[in-house]
Amino acid sequence: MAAVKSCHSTGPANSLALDFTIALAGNPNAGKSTIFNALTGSHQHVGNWPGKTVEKKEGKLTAGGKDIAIVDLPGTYSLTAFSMEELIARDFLIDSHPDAVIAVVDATNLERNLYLVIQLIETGLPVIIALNMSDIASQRGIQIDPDQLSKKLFNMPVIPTVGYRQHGLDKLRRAIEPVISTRTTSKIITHFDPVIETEIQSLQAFIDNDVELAGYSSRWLAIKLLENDETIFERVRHNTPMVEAARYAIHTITETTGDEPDTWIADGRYGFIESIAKDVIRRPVDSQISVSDRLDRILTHRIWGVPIFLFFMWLVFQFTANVSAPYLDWIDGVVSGPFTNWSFSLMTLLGLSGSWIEALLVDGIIAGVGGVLVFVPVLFSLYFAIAIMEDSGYMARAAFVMDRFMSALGLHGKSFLPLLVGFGCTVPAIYATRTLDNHTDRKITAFLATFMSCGARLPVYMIFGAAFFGSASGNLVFAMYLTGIGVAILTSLVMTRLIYRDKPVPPFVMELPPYRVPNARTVAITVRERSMAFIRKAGTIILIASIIIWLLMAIPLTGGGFNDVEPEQSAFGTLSKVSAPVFAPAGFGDWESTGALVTGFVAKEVIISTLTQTYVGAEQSTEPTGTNVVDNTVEIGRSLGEATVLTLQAVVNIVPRTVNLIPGVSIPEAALVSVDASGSDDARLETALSRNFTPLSALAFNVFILLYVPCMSATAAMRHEFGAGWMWKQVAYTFAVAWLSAVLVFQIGGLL
Amino acid sequence: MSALRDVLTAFEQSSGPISLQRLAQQLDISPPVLEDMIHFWVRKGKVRETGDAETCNTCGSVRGCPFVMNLPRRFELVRDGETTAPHCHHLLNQG
Ligand SMILES: Nc1nc2c(ncn2[C@@H]2O[C@H](COP(=O)(O)OP(=O)(O)OP(=O)(O)O)[C@@H](O)[C@H]2O)c(=O)[nH]1
Repeated sequence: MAAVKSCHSTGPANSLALDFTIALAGNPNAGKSTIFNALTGSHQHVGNWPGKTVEKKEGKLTAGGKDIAIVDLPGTYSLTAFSMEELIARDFLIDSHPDAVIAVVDATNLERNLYLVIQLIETGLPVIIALNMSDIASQRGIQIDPDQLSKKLFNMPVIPTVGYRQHGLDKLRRAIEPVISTRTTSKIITHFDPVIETEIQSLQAFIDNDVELAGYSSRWLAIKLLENDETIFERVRHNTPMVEAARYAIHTITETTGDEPDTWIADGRYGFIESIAKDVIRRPVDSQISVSDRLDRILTHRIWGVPIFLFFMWLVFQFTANVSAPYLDWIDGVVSGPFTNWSFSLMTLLGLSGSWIEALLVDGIIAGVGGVLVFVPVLFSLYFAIAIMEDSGYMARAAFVMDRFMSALGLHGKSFLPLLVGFGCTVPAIYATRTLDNHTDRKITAFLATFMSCGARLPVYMIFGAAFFGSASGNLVFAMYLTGIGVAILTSLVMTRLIYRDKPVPPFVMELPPYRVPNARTVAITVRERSMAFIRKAGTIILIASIIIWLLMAIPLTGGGFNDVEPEQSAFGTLSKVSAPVFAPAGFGDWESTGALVTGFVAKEVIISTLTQTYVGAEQSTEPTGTNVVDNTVEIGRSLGEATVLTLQAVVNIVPRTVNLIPGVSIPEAALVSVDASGSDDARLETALSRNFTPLSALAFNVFILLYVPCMSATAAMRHEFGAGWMWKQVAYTFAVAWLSAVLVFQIGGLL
Repeated sequence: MSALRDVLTAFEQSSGPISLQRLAQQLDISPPVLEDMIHFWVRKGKVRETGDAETCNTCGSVRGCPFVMNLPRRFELVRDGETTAPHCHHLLNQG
């Protein structure tokens, strides 16, 4: 029998000086505030808990002719001492001895909420249960039998309520009066394992004989001691024999059962909840399977999960490549057409026509930075697609599916999530490994992350795709991303052998967030920020790199004069030629491409800048044509309109393209308009590439770019996180893998 | 012992990653209850939480990085002899 001594001699438990006090307890979001407001109306007093920043609300309620103060406790899941909220709630309950507790319970989630209710009952205080959210529960077909629940909970009143509609509140008020008049406490049945119950009883004997502890429920105190609750040990410090007995009991139970008493106690509560739920809750059979579960059965399917993920990736790149292409051509046309023309006019106006400054501006900066900026629409589409996957909840599934796949192969690659971050940018992917606890796992995952194709590599595939694969360029991009994942998996295979020596992969449990319709605002913000990061990079690193490359190309080394030198004889050409033979076995041993690989270390977009400057810049002696501002502006507008039509056409065409994947099916694609962007830089670069590469050497070149050291910043991040040693290993490894793969592609491809 | 212990056993015996929802179905308990049970083991130091990325996942720069993703939480068994490793907050504080 629980005995709570009334403590009214020390004054009421509320600051409203009312004789009766009721505490309102419940899990966060169970509807406590709603019930509190409904019960108290305008009679509220808001302050803080003494010495805490947590808000304390008190209000007045009249029930059965009595004025009663209601104190709103912080929302908690438990009454342990692990958070400030829990401590506040339980200190109030045990020190202020309210006359009753109303437990606001979320009926849609009864099992979880009961964990708190049981602990409230354990305090020995009378408890009234407001079964809130009962409207949603019945909508979902969850049936809870309040009478049965009441019976199971030692006849504590259970009243179904719908807080925000004030349903059930009158009944709740009526239930209060008899409880506080009689202080009907529960007759606690033993719900713990006998090992615990025996100890509870012997500790209770100590407590009942200690006058200083007269204000406490002895059962509750005994439970807390067995839970090894330090704040409670502090309170009973004066009773040395009891403290020793409690410590000894904890020790013995742990020794004899292998589990600490707090585990037994928590387990007892869960067991009790299980037995209640079995008799009290009825769920319709199919409610167990929510839409989310159904989707998960397909999307995270053991066998189909991986192919489905790959299919989504394929869709993403179809989308990225085709949808953005018209805008890409448009920006390209604007940059290399009107914009370049205006720059020429400006130079003429300033009397700098034909000078090196003009060359720096047009061949260096506009070709270099402009060449990269034209890819903003591509990255915009990619980031858009990724943001949709993230916000809908699919990305977490993708990571889960890939993790499971790696683990099924016995691979330590640990978490695929940081790797997915690598699709955006390698640097945060390296830092994202911080979420892993084990240092070795972190190092390996960061290593693998560099093979994930980042946004900066995409422009390179795009331009080669356009030059060699036409409308199938989306497939090239997809193939490159797949290759990246494949190499990461192979690397993990090597690492598993070398570093983990085939130790089994530890399992884990992952929480999959609920699916939802992507939020337009969230997606817009993410896409904007990521695209802006790309643009900022063009305005800083790539700008500087372009100027340096131009300078190196203007400085003569083996003949000619400044800004009047055959590219091959420039500093850049001469230096690049030295390393060119290294790449001859991979099929791209000319100095232009070799030079681009070197500068590509700064950032992979710089590869485009360099190729434009070396292949196109050299022949770009095009003199200004039609610099009429009005004509140009009209042309820009017209081509923008055309680009939009083409984009819509591309979006529509994703459907036939997808359907055509099915063998034997072929439906035509829409072709309203076609483009001709042959005059632009991009188009010129494409032409130059198709002259200097074969499809095979282009493929080898792309594979090399995919796999070799991501960039300066990623290398710095590697060093920052794992030290110079690991960084050099990574640089050497990526270079070796890239070279080998490129050579293999070229040589084996040549045999086919 | 009942479900609480089963959760730990499930961790120990699972042959690969499993989703929280799936495990809840297997153990026939509601996902929120399973989450609470896992948190119980986290407090006991038997299981640890990884992947709570909000705070860890930045580029280390002050403004953070736009490529950061919201990563879902994962829980894994603390192997014998291992202590729960320092959380990433410490790492961030160093920089
Ligand atoms: N459908 C439904 N909604 C409710 C009910 N009771 C409250 N709500 C809504 O549930 C939400 C949460 O209610 P609150 O009263 O703020 O919950 P709380 O328990 O005070 O939450 P914390 O302040 O976090 O402890 C609000 O949007 C309420 O309008 C109910 O019975 N049915």
